[in-house]
Amino acid sequence: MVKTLVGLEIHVELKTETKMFCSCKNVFGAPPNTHVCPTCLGHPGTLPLMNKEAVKLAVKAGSAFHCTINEKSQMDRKKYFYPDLVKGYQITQDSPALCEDGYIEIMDEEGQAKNIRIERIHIEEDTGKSIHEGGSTLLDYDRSGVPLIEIVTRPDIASSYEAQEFLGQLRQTLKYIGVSDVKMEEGSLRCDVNINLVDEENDKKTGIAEIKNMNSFSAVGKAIDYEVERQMKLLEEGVIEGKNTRRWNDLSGQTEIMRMKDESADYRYTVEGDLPPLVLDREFIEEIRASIPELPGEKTKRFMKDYGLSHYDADILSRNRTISSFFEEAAKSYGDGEAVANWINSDIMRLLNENEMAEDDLDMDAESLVKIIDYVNKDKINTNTGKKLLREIFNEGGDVDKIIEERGLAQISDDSFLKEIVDKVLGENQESIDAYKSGRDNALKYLMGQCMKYSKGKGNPQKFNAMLLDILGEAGK
Amino acid sequence: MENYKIIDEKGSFIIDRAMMKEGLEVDAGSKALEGYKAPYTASLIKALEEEDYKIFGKGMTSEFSLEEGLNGVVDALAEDRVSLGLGLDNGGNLLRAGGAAGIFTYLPSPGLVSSYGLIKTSRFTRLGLMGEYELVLDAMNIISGKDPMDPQTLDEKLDFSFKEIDLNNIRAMQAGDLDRDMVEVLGEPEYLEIEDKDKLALAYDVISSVDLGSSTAKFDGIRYGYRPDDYENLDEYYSNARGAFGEEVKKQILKGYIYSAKGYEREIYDGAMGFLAGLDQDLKNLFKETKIVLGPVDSLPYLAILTNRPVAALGKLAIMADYLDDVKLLNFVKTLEEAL
Repeated sequence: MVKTLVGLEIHVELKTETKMFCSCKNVFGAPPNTHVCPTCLGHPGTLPLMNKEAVKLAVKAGSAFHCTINEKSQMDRKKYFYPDLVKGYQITQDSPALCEDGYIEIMDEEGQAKNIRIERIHIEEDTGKSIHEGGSTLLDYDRSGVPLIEIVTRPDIASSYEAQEFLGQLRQTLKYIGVSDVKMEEGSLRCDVNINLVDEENDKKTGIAEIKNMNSFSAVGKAIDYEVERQMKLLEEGVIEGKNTRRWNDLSGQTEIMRMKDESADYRYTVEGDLPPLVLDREFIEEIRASIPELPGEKTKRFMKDYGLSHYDADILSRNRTISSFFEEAAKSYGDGEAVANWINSDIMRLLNENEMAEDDLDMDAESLVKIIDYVNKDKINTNTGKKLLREIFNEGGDVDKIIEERGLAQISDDSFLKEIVDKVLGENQESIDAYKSGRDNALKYLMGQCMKYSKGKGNPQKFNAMLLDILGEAGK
Repeated sequence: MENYKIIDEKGSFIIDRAMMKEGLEVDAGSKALEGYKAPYTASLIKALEEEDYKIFGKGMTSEFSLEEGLNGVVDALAEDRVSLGLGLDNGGNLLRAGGAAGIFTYLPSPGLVSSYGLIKTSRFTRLGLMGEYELVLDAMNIISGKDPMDPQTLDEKLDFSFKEIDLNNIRAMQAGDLDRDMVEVLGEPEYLEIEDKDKLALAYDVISSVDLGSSTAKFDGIRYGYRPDDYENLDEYYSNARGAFGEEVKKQILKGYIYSAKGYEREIYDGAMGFLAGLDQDLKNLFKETKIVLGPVDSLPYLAILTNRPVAALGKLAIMADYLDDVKLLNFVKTLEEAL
């Protein structure tokens, strides 16, 4: 049996006001080199000043992923030369890392819970950005010194599916607890994949391929699938390949070799003597731990248990704090979580999409939704009116009862009123009656539409439907 | 105090070429920083200037003040052109130069004075104050204390004023032979046996050369400093840019690489770091009992520098006190000097 071993190294930019070691703003997309100072440009004589908020966010991430938080760690210098690395070394953590030995629970392809172990989470500074243009390289140092955490997993991931599940959980949690905005397109979440295959029966394995700088979850999935296939061939053909670094080519759908590396690069780590050791009070750590809200994974399980939701519905509702709070408030008030979940996951989500709004921007009170669902279920308004009403309240706000009253939207269920309309519609549409009788069911929908039109949308559609069927049936279909 | 300032044209002072003063060229004696103009001012210089001290000039030094002997700050003081100097000490070289020239020289406890704006090549590079005793005290009152730009500075502010002390009440220890006249003044101080004395200089050499490699990596010629024009690719650019360093610095950088690279002599660096941790504990124990240690300026500074203790030089004698016992150290030095 051949096993696939995948480990991930993920860099996440922290959502702080300022950079890791200076007071420059931590912003994305500003004109090049406008958020720089002597410190983040690596000028002589400058000294790094630790950003406490960055440490706090790193501890928060470590706590959310069940890590041990080391009360004592230190910053180290990782040395290499590159123009976007201003000091000739990066301030990072070698050993020990701030957070160690955690995990993230995912659901594997069989729907079984599986823990992916996290080896370490350490804090470090980002480098500047090299922009290669027409044979020249331009440097933007706005990113230099932006605070990062690097999350390193054990090789517990067995497939592209699991890798994407893991990344999804990780992104969702980091966003949920406010550690990062985790936007891959802006580079605030970047991922390297380490992958190799092990044939335990024949005691063979392939060399580890490190695929650098993946820019989307789907690319991660495709690169893993491609590598599994490529490395499987190597195993079958008995080709021995050493450790190698590769890049993903989205156009060709292949990984391409960047360089072979027989051993890991020697960065000559030494202690960063310009910063004191990083010593955290137990109290500080506990305070951060206590501030972590119920996380999406836990919430999904609770929503399934408390409100009888499917995993699918519970998962969608748990991903965002605004949405999950909105759901819980409405579900508690209405008493039927499933009905509320249906309305949110279909209608509210659609409205957010249509308006290109983030979930956090939902600005509607849960009680309005509860009233709409209640009135629809009690036939006070019909479903169509309910949906229109929801759209109006979502976009412009307002009072549900007042709008229903002012516009006369309340549903009419009075049989004699409805019968009068049905008779009128049938009297005017003999062609449709004939069509229905000859087996064209669409004709019934047309007649229903006409009834709704004459009732100005207020007639009870179920009753219209029953009446039409009754009469058309009598007519001898 | 005013008298000194008047004599020195409103309290002028001389600085090392590795100290930042906005707009002035700061090359730290290295071709690697040729033409580099400081974009900001070191915190301690700013503090002194706010108290009407004026920079008299910059003293010529060896590249990054690493070598023994050549030191323009010491020369200016020795020639009485100025009465206060701020220099950088590496491995006791400023103390030795000052001592040899008969100039009072003192390295404060790390954390007392901001290092922001000083081009330090290693964690052991220390600020040194030299010159007239009263001016050194006055300067310390101005420059010591918390600097938000230096995370290692302390909140506490000491009162640097001279109070004569009773030498008989100070428990002094000697870490080497003392002159007879000093023994007469102090009595016969207890002898302090420093174990692993040879390792002090070695540990200093190993760790400081490793630090030097990364500290000087900043000066790669990309953003400032020496730009080579003969290169084919990026690797060659770096290689040639680093050719701007002098022989001694290159030697030290190479040593640092060997000590920090896996598979070479990394265990020596790790051993030195372990030795340092043990040494710190030894010193904590020592200073539970002892307040002042005297020894030769050739060797005692290594102990003070490796363990972050304040140290001063009086001729060939180095005098060390416990961490933050700076006022006591300075009072002892002055009282001893007067008693001799």
